[in-house]
Amino acid sequence: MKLEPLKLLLLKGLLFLIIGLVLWIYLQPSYSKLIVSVSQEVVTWLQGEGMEKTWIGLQGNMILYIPRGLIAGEKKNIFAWKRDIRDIHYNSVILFALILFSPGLGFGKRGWVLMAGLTLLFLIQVLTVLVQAKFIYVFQMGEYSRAHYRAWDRNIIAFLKQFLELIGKFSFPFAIWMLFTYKETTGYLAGAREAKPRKRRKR
Amino acid sequence: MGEASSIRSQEIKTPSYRKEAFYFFIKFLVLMGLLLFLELFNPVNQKVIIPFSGFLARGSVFLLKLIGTETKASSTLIVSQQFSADIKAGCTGIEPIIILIAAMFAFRASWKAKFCGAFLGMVILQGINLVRIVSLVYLGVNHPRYFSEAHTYIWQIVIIALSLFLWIVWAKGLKSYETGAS
Repeated sequence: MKLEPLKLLLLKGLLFLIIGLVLWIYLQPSYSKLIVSVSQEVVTWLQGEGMEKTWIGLQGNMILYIPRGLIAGEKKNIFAWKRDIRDIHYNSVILFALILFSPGLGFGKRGWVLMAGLTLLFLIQVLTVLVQAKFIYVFQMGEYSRAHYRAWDRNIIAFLKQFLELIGKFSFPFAIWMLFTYKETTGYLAGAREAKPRKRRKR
Repeated sequence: MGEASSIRSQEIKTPSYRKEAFYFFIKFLVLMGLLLFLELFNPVNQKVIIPFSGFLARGSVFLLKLIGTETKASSTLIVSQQFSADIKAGCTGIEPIIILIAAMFAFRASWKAKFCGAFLGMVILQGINLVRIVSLVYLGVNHPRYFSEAHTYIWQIVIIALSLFLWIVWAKGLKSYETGAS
């Protein structure tokens, strides 16, 4: 059986990227609402009865974080922190294209990997929202932030935020794709349908 | 007893792709974390990243002049009468390089292949990033209504698709893979 040439494979990748982009444009308003509602549930559960309570909402394509709790009650000006939510879930397009163009995957496994991969990516997108919500309390609440969070907490949250926003959003699709299709991908890259096992040295 | 030990030895000989995939995943994430930490580390940021951003700004201004768009560089800023852009984290082209290097170094290949691939990848990605900055400033000055879409969607996907493409081409060219060299 002949292997697909690299050029053809990349053209397929480009085609799936365009299809993914069109689907994403069509589905993104509902998908944004899903991320916001799941994140709100998780945030409410995590924050419990503590001083920090966050309302997460959508205003067009912007995700709003509004601190509502004891600390917000003490403040005269309640502020909303805004981020473009499309920036958080735009990476689904890349994962979609990578899985559909992936060489050597059977129909059943491709479907399973697509579902599992997109679910895992969805959880990472929710994690990004949670980190952004935490970021407000750690950095942007003035005296409250200084009194309740040490330098160590600030470093961890800032690093997590940078990791998820700067490189995580594009590297996670690749990492998830490799995690689920390692055998087939390395097999293709090595020039065989199935990756050949490494020979053990005879002693 | 003999049958059981034969089955066990067969299990040992069969490569565990799940394990290998998991190691790749972890190595990739750890390497990315370390490289990002290095990028954000204040002395590195002050002495390497910010001067490099300034260099990108000056290079972009030079290229923009060649295509007839007058701008000025001030530190990491590119300024014109109608539009200004700041080259900050996320715009320097360093993040796709981090992803590419982490993917190359997490994959089973010779050190020579890893270093050569990383160097070539860096050069290509920085070249394309310069084109990205020039085209975005050009759009910002001449067609500002297209700037946001081009900045957020078109170029982000082009840059990341390019780094994945470079990784695939690099990994496909590895002759050492089948022999298991590491």
